[in-house]
Amino acid sequence: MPDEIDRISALGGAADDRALAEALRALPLLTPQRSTLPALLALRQAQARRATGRRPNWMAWAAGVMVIGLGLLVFKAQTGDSGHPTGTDEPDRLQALMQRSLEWETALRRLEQQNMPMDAGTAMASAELEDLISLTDLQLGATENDTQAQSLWERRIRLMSRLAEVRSQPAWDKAFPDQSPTLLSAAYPIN
Amino acid sequence: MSTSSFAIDVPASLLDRARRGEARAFEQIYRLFERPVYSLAWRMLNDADEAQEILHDAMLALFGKLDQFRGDAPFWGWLRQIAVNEALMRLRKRKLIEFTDEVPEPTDALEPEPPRIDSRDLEVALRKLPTVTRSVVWLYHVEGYSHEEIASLFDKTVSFSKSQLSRGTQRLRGMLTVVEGGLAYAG
Repeated sequence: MPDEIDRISALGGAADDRALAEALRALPLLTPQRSTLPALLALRQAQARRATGRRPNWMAWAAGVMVIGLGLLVFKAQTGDSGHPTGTDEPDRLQALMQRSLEWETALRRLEQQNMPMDAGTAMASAELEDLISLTDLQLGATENDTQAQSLWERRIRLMSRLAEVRSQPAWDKAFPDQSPTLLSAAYPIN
Repeated sequence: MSTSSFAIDVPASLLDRARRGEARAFEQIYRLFERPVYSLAWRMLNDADEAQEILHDAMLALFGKLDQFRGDAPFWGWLRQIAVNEALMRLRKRKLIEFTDEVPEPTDALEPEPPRIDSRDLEVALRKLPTVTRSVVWLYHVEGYSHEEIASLFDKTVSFSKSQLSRGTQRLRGMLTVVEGGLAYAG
């Protein structure tokens, strides 16, 4: 049987096969729509805490993550919080930023699962923000500098908070038709 | 030299830092291999969501098993094996690896010179292949696995691998018709 298959393959045209293989290898690499890194790092962090005997409070965090995500949204709208954790040293600050990024990722996933109808303007704004998040991820991949990485993580958080705001705007408008639609957007300058 | 997109040298110092639990080292390893893992998963399963989940699971497994990596083979090959295993696990869950060792009909030998193939046409044609066939084509032609290795991965015979490759190649050829200057998608 294998010999027969070998013979058939040879009959198929070696030049064709070579060209096909080369073309397959030349196909571009694909990029995921969203990085899974923040979730992975948070999981690692939780595992490390468990390994060192500190109680992680992970389950409580998981159960309340939606509340945290939406709470952050409201909190940021009210205070204009820029996403900078304070009073921490450099590695802790990076970890805190990654954790905050994960919280936004989770909140965004929850929003996506609700399948809220989106008008063209919202869809375009979402797509632009997603592109900017992807660009930030690319820059994060290229940077070797911790300070620069921190500022990119901060930017990522700001973009995700803006994305959450844009995606939740239709529901907000529906719930509060008399409220100014620019209430939330004014709170998030993206630099 | 490997043609795999995974073939990236990772410094031992970076692996040591990751083993010590340094988040920045994890991040650097993740960034290096994010696209190769995602692309492999997407090519095998043809599903963006599942590819994203495979990326997550493979990286999680990698970081969990990093202490087990002894360094007697390239790190990228070790990681690629983890990614392939994660993808194959998904295929098994879908119960897709249930194939007979069919032998396709022979076709006539054609032109002596390799034709040019448009990558967009090839993307379309590739997506139309059955999942297992596409996976075998990809593992053989792009990742450089041998028929013996593919047979072992799928828990099948060598002739299974050869027949899937032959079937896939023929179907791709069938979908890519000969046009002036190369091959183009024929639908």
